[in-house]
Amino acid sequence: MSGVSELLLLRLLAEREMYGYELARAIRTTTRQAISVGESVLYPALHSLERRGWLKARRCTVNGRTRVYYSLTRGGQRHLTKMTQEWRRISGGVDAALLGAQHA
Amino acid sequence: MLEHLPGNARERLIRGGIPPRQARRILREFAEHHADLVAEQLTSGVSAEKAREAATARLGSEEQLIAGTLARPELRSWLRRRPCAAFAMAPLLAFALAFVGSIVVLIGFFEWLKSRGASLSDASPMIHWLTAGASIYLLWALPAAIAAAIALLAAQRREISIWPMVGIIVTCAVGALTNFSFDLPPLAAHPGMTAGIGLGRDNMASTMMRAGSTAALTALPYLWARRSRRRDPHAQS
Repeated sequence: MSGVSELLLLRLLAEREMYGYELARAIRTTTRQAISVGESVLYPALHSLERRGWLKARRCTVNGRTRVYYSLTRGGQRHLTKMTQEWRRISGGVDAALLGAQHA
Repeated sequence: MLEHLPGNARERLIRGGIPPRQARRILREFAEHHADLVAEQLTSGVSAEKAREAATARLGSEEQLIAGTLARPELRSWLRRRPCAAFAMAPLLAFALAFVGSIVVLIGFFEWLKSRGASLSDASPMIHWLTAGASIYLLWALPAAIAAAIALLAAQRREISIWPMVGIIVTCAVGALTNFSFDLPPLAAHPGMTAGIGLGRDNMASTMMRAGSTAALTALPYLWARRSRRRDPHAQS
């Protein structure tokens, strides 16, 4: 499941930079609440992606609140493309197997 | 707003190998997220207390955050993952580079003085103090400073392995084995400088004294800090 949350985080951040709370909401909304990344494990995941060079963080103060905005790096973009292809290959294979099982 | 910040969570993250700055940032983001969730709940008309409870329930517990962070080895600092290299090998390399680099700078400086016609003689007060200062720096201050840096870093990162002590002892021992002196007129015919590393029978006692004193100066405060932290694990640095 960590691969799925990683893919979702990268995909959402490819569109625009976001901070943690926004990301948690965006995941719930875009996946129609099918997937909700545990909000307490969101930050370790984001820091891990940043450590691997796929995200960059920018701190900014809005209305006296400190927000850390995350955005995708070029390496992150490349990794997202690779992960997306891999996901499509696997989900396509699983779909085919499920359809096959139904017709068998 | 930051009341949700868990009291000893930072300490536990650092003990788990998370760099202090990163631990602080994760907890700050976590607290900001909690404040956002409280604000979201308040807009739905619930009381402040209920909003806080709901936010805490949704965000998860301190344990979950800590477990989630420590479950990712890539978030641990390089110092924690390679303590031998970080606390023993890197300081030794840093000492060697700083020793050689300082000598190169000194040679450059004396060449520059010579080119300006200065007399490189021990009779000159400036040269006398300069050479005395350089000797103290290279033979005492440099190894002590590097050993102190190891101790400080190890204490800051709550390192519990033996490697910081190994690093301190090795740095102080190698520092004590180095020798450095100026040979200046009128005692020498021409100005010169000698530097090297080695142990001779005639200087064994002074070498041991140098190694022992610099190691004690840096290791004892470190060991004391480590012991008191063990007694009071929630102490903040």
